Amino acid sequence: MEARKWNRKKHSRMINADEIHEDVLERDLGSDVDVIFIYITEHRSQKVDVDRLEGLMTGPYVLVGVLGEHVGEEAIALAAKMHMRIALEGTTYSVNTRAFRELDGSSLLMGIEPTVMIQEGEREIKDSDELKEMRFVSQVFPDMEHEDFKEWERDVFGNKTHSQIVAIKKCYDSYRGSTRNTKDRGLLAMEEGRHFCSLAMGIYNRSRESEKR
Amino acid sequence: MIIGDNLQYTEEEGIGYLYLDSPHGNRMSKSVLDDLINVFDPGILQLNIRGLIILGKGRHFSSGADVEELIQSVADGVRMDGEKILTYPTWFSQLKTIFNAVAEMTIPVITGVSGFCIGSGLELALAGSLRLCAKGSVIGFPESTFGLLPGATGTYRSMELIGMSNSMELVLGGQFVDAENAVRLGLFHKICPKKEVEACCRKEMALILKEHER
Repeated sequence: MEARKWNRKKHSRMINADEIHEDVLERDLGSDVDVIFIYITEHRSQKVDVDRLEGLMTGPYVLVGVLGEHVGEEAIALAAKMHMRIALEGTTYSVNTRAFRELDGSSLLMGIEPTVMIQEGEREIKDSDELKEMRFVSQVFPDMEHEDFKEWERDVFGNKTHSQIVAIKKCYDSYRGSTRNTKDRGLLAMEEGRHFCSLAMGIYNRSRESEKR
Repeated sequence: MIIGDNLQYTEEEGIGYLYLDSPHGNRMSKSVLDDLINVFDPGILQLNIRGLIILGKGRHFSSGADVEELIQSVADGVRMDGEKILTYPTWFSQLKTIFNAVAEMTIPVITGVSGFCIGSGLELALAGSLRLCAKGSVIGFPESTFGLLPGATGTYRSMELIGMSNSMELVLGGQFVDAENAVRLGLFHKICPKKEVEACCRKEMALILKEHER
């Protein structure tokens, strides 16, 4: 599957993992982009420009990893950097103990014990439904053109302002960075408190301005 | 014992029972939030109890906050310099502290929910160390559909419990999940029959305390 063939929404972009380089980013990303879907396979994940990816991660977008075809350790490690992960049906995953640890260490699965234990040194093949059951991915879709995917995209990202999506994204980025250094819940919850008050004040001020008119 | 206008608290055999009991399906009005702050700070946090069970009176655990009132309360208490927040409303800071304090209590805290458990009601419920939900419960963070986000520990706590991908979908989407999915995700531990939430909480508490006393 090629990202270019996917149906693009106004505020979302779809990029193949191995296309995260300057040309594609400059051509495809505008200031109105809220979400970037990154199509990840094992083959593509081995060709990722890590510096460009780091740049993308600090941008004002939510990154959604779309796992497809066959994925293994490289792809899992790349997917771990995304804010959200979904999978396409028919995807197979070759998972070993190290991959589990990698996800856990990235704080993406904080507090969650793997429901399936893999023996040290062993490797197991999982399908996409099993990965959803294990909470590695939040959704599984037949393909990116399927109505279920479009509906999910509308539900999650539709009717949200850019500033709201960026605020929520920043909260999660903050947790991801902070949880390595602290378990202080007061400190960790500061970011969401700040964004909550900012968003509330934005609504309040807009409401007052419209009343004046 | 009735606390404020919106809470009831009783103790039986060393176990504290806190009930949300306010109008409109235990809506988390500013008055309820104030009562919660008053009961926990220092109140229950310093009581000599062995466990705490938090429940809702009536059909719903909590129907969440009154959004307009919430925004007004933020506007009344926040101090800003341009877009920069200088100080948070006192009640808001206290509420976050209380929810975190509940999550870190050194005694077992069981939250039992039924009906609606949304918004700040869910933030309170997620602070429990063991979380039970009744069949038919409606659970979620609808804040994003009002232009907000769960701001009093809900965003962080949901990530802590269910991981980033599922948490972000819950918070950003603002969709509700049913009891079965709430358990599958890891937001809640167990489902119990609709009319037996309190009985299930009591049973679980007895089991936990028995285990502790071994």
